[in-house]
Amino acid sequence: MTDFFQTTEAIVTAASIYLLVGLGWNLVYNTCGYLNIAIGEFYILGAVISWKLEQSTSITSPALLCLLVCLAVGILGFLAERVLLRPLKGNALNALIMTIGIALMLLQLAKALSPATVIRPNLFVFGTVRPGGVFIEYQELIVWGTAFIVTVGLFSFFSFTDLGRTMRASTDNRPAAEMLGIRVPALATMAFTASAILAALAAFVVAPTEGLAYNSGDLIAIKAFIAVSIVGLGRNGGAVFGAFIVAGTEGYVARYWSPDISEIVVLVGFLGVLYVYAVRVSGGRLVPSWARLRRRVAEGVS
Amino acid sequence: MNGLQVEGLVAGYGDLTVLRGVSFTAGRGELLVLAGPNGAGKTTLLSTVIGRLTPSAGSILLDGQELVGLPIHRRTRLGVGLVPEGRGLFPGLTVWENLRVAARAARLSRSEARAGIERAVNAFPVVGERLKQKVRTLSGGEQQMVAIGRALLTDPGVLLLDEPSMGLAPIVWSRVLETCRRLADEGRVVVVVEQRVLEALETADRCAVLQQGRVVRDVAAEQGAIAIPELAGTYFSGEAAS
Repeated sequence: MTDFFQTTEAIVTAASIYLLVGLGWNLVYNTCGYLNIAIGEFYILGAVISWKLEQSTSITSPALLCLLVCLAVGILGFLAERVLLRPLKGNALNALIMTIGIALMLLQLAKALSPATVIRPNLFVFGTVRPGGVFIEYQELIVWGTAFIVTVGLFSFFSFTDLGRTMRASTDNRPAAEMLGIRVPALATMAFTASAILAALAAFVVAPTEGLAYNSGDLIAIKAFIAVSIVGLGRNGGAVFGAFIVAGTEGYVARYWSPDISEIVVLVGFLGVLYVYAVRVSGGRLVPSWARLRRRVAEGVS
Repeated sequence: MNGLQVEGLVAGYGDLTVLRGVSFTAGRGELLVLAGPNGAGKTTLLSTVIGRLTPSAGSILLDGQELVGLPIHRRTRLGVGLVPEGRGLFPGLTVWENLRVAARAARLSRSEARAGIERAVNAFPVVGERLKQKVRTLSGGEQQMVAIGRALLTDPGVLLLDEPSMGLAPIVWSRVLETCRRLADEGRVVVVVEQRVLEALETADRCAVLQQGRVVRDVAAEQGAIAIPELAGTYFSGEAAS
């Protein structure tokens, strides 16, 4: 049983990361109306910049490092949106393609800043707690806490602040928002910058526990995308549920079946979800026509 | 002059000029119906007055103050309220959130916003009853009340309504017209751009006809739509001409 809880503990950590990055996906999708493919690179830059600062300066305070990492990635996110994406005037397909270009540029930046091996910044705080024999590092508690605070913070921001409500309104009906004089492009810049910071924050808190390679951001971004897409892209409440579904499937399959196929199971499961959505949207049937035909033939024969 | 004065307004989209020197006036307490065939420039005119489009020539005066060159939120604060075509509400937000968002866009202070919401609720009690409801769950008539209530947040001197009858049952439409009349009688300029002109003319003071980006006729409403050949011929088709 301890083994089960230990596995569950690791799942909560993974789910926290998928949630943080997933909220970044939602933030851009809800406010800007397109997908930010570069979010995996913003994520990895959170770890890389943190590691680089540790290596090249004498800064050891996690709070100061966090501030500098968020500032650096925030500036990159701001520039990317303001210089490269805003001129596209909200064209979702062009913006999507542009974010692929941004991802490639940021990947090169991450590569230039980090060695070819896995980087592992220092733990913020050493030690573990052992409730019921389950080892939980303090650093993991920081990851859980960060995900919890950010989720509650975002929910409160969108529900209880004028700026949050205005961002929701501009997504709900952009022409109407513009007619009221709301500066929708400025809101898009803010959302894109915030999503970059969220992703970087996720890597900043988790990199000390497991280490990250400069090119490992995309896989996390894909899993986070799966997490937010299971219930419906853009729904932050659904993102919490989706993050635990993806991390849980991955974790339990890896522990009790085989680590080699855990990611395959997640991706195949996602294909299944996409299939159900596609069928529902097109008004078709879940069972393909050839399968129904075979069944009828078999029934006729018997 | 007190009221709205539009003089020689030229505006459009890029190279396409839609308004070609529009001029009209509407005094306080007046309800003006703006009619014209599709593509005449009615919605473009309202977009230019509210500040969504920048005119290349002409002036828009509200109580003698020039509006051209001011951003939308300044015009809203100066007293121009717009109920756009299709109502321009945020269906996923509650009625209260719709009002708050509009108040923030107009840069109203907390107390001003509270007073504005109170004004909207007093004007339309149904808005007060539905404050916590999402807009998408309201009927078409209730949504129109919310849209007009939202335009009243800043206690506007000029209220512009773009196709307010769209999607409304006849009885609800007549109630909206009564509301427009009441708002005009309170001393506002009310400009209604409308396809269902016959009903609108019954409560209006004047009717201006827009054709190919110009006001081609501006008459008292009691003269009736039939007396306006541009309308009878090109706009009502068989309905009015018969």
